[in-house]
Amino acid sequence: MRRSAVWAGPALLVVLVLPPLRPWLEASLIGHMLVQIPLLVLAGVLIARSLPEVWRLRAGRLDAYGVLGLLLALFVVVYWLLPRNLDAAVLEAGAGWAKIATLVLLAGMPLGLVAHRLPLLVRGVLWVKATAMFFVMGWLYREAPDRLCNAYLLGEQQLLGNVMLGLGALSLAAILALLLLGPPRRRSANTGPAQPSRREAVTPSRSVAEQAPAGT
Amino acid sequence: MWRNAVYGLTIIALGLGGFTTLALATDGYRAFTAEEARRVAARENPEPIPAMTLEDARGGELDLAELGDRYVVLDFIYTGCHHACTTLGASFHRIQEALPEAVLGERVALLSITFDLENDNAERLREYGERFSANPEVWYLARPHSREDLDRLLNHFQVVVIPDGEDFVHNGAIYVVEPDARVAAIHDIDAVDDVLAYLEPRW
Repeated sequence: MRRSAVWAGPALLVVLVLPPLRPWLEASLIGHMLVQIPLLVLAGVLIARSLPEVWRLRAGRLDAYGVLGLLLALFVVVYWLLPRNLDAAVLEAGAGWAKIATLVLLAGMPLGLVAHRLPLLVRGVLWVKATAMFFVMGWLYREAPDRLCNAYLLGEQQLLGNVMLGLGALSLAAILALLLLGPPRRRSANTGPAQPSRREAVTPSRSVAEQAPAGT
Repeated sequence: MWRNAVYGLTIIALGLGGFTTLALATDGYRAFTAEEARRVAARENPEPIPAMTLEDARGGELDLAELGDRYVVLDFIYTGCHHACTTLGASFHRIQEALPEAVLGERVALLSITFDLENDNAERLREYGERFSANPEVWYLARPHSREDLDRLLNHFQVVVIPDGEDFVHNGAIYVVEPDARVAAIHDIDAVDDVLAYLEPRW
């Protein structure tokens, strides 16, 4: 599979962790949940993809179908999406750094190492489930009468709910389009068997990183 | 075959580990929010309030340790507030009116502490008391002496105050402090009946 540039992951991580962006993203619930956390996972994915091929081969020996990596990443992401842990990550410095470290090392990197091994069925289930969770959690955040996070205002919570409902609708539209129109045709399909499998490996693992936060 | 069995078992083990971790992180799936977490902690693991002297709005000092062997119904307020604190003030007024005379002041006291050190002085606290017909003998209004004292208090009660334009937003609640100075119950700001139901068998 295609390797990421060595500098991409670390550069993204540094930008995310340093002052101008980090406090700005953490100041809003949407920035924290829908931007910062997915991008931290993405930084881990990019870092893992920039490692020598031998790392992915070793990881593949432990986790032939990528399920361990996926589970680990989901648990870590769900942990940090619990409202009380979102609060802690903002209000306690130690928890804030633990969030960054675990999202990169225990969510992003495992995904980067093994997500391309996930069977199509698992990817499909994950996508549909993530879409459903966007609707469920979006509705919850939109309608909850009380604040779920002490560090954020009620208005932000409702806005987050609406945005999540919107994302869920987009995701559902994509699923329906896929069902009705079939998968997008690949131009490179004639150039040999190796080419499509590479492309396939890149796209779905990226979508896993983006949709993982919805798995609450 | 053997390899797949080991792989399957590893997946199950990771799943169990993950759900166990989430269970620990949510007090057994009971507390998903920080607010619920502090309520569970207060019920199951009550901790004594910090030893501290506050400025009493009637003049003089109010030593938290010397509120005596009474139940103290406590809240955090700021007098410029027009939302949660108004509800809290009304709730405290109802609690004050609902308590029998023999109990009021003797077995149960009320205490409102301001967290707006910049704007709230003794006079404004007294005005707040008058707004809710506080009986100064049983409903104390107080102000921490310093920012450090205030932060210690807010940390202990896990009160998070965030600015919202010109106002503050805070996780308001009604706390019940036991005679042994431990915070053993945290109730919603309008849960007057719950507070009274908690106190009645105990006073």
